[in-house]
Amino acid sequence: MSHQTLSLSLFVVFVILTLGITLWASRQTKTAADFYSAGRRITGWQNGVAISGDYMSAASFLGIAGLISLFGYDGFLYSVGWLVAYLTVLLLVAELLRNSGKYTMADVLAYRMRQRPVRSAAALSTVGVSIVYLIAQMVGAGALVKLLLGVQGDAASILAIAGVGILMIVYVTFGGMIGTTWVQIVKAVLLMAGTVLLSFLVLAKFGFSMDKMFADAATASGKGDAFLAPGLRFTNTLELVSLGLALVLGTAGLPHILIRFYTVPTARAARKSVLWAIGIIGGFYILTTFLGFGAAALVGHEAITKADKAGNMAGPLLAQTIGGGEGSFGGDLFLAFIAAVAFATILAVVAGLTITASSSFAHDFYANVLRRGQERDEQAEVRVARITALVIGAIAIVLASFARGQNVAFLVGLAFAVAASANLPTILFSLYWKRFNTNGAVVGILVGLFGSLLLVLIGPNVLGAKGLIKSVEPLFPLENPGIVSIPLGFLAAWLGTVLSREPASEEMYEELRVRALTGLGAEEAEVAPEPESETAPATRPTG
Amino acid sequence: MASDRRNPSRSPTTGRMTAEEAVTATEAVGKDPEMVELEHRHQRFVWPVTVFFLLYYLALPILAGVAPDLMGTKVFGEFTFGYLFALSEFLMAFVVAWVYARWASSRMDPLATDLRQKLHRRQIKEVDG
Repeated sequence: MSHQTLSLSLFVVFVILTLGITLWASRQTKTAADFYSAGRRITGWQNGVAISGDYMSAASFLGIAGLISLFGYDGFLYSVGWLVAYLTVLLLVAELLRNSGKYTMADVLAYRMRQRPVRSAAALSTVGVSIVYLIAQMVGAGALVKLLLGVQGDAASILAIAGVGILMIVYVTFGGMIGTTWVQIVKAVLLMAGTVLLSFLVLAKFGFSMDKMFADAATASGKGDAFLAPGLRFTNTLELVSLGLALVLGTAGLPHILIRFYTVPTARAARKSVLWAIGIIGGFYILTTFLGFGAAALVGHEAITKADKAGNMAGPLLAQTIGGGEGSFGGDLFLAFIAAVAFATILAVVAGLTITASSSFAHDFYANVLRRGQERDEQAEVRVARITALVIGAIAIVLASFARGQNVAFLVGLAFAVAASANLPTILFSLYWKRFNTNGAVVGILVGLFGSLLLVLIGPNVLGAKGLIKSVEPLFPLENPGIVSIPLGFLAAWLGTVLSREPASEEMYEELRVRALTGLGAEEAEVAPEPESETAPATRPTG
Repeated sequence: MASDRRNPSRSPTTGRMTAEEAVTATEAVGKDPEMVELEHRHQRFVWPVTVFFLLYYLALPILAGVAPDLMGTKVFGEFTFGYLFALSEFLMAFVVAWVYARWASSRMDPLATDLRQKLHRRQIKEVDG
């Protein structure tokens, strides 16, 4: 059996399993709360595993391994930033957000503000960030299929991108948040199992000596000791700090991570889920050392770049080499297994992003802006969310077909910069600054969103020798805009606020703080039946 | 105006309370000395710790940029200072998360629970009286 057939079969097994979960979840999904937030019935550890599954994307598994295998030490900087980012989430955002919101990121932002302007801006940035992130995932899927089927044509990767898009639409429209959560949990377990196994086998190849692995990787890279030190990918300190800021601050502004905290019943459960996530994600990122340096030593620079210019295929190629090399049964089997894990990884993240974007459009824009929050018809709202999932899936399929050939970790790094610039200032000011108001929130989101996107468009990724338009020199020198766009987002939110007065927002600050810190009102969410829903079971009161 | 301002998603999450009742209730709790203390403790903990972990984290990209030679220095075997420093970031993250969790469950949760119970009692009293 060829590795194509093998990986296809393994992949089909995963798809059938997850479609089964989706079918089961669709039977559990009766109310809007079920669709958006899994009825707040997910436990702390389950949510922690699901967050890990939502977070460790193609960027982590394919992208980081690729960057380390090509540039050594510099690639590992992504791993560190993406883990430390969870401290920002844990300390400043997770519990307060859980207590003061319901379905979307905008619930917290709009708590004490005028609903329509804030929700419109937040829906725009939620959909924007999610689509940039989605594109990166689907680029990974395209590269993977090209490797698996051994074809060079673009048709295969476009077909793969479309396939992933269709599956994600099915997961989200039928399974809602319950289905998405369980797909993410299954994926997280598979990904950890695959990574631990692969790392163990790599280490065994070097006689369980990390020293030997580092030495061999340095030699095989042709760069010598420079491979074990910074400087092969990033030489500019500003660029490094810019990327670092985007990574460490971006997570707390990622809508698809934030709304996971609505799926748990209490703030304590939210805290517990971040702790689980930090443990799992931290363990995984430490293991990227073995994937990256292992691939550099065992697969080699030439073979990695031959399969994918940006290095995205280093992990799967490493599996093939470890299993016995191209053409051997072991090599084919292990490649098939790791490729299936990578597909599962992509699908779960893509489902999480899609439900986030479509929830925000339906709940924030359709129900609260277009319908002005009156005569709430939650069934209609969920219907709109399902249709939106379809549209967003289609948009992402088209855009991803154009973005092929970029490193996935790098693309996701950009999404983090946009999230940190547009969303984080407004979230923090909403929760911690009494004077903050509607003007500040809207200006902050819009300036952060368009400012960061503009800096990418006039930066070296698009203009200049390394970019798409080679004849024009870049107007902005940095690849990652974070160091400029994040302070810009904070500044805009501050300026928009001090230039206007909104006493109503200040008056409600105390209410928000009481609620966010004590869980008052929100804590009973699992106890009281939803007024709109007749079917929610009455559960035992807690607290 | 009022309908625009009221967060329509709020009353469902407040359970059996209406939005107006919740506002009155939280106003009373907002003045409670326990609430003031809770607020105080929270601010005093999260901001200093945030400054600490951000500085510790940013030291990594800054050192990588300005002192690549130091980062490339081999401390033992093939382990460079840069790699060990990166690993120490993981350790730092685990420790800070653990310290926060311990602090929150011993210094925050009891106060928050107390405040919630106070409010429940107040509501019951209102119904009885």
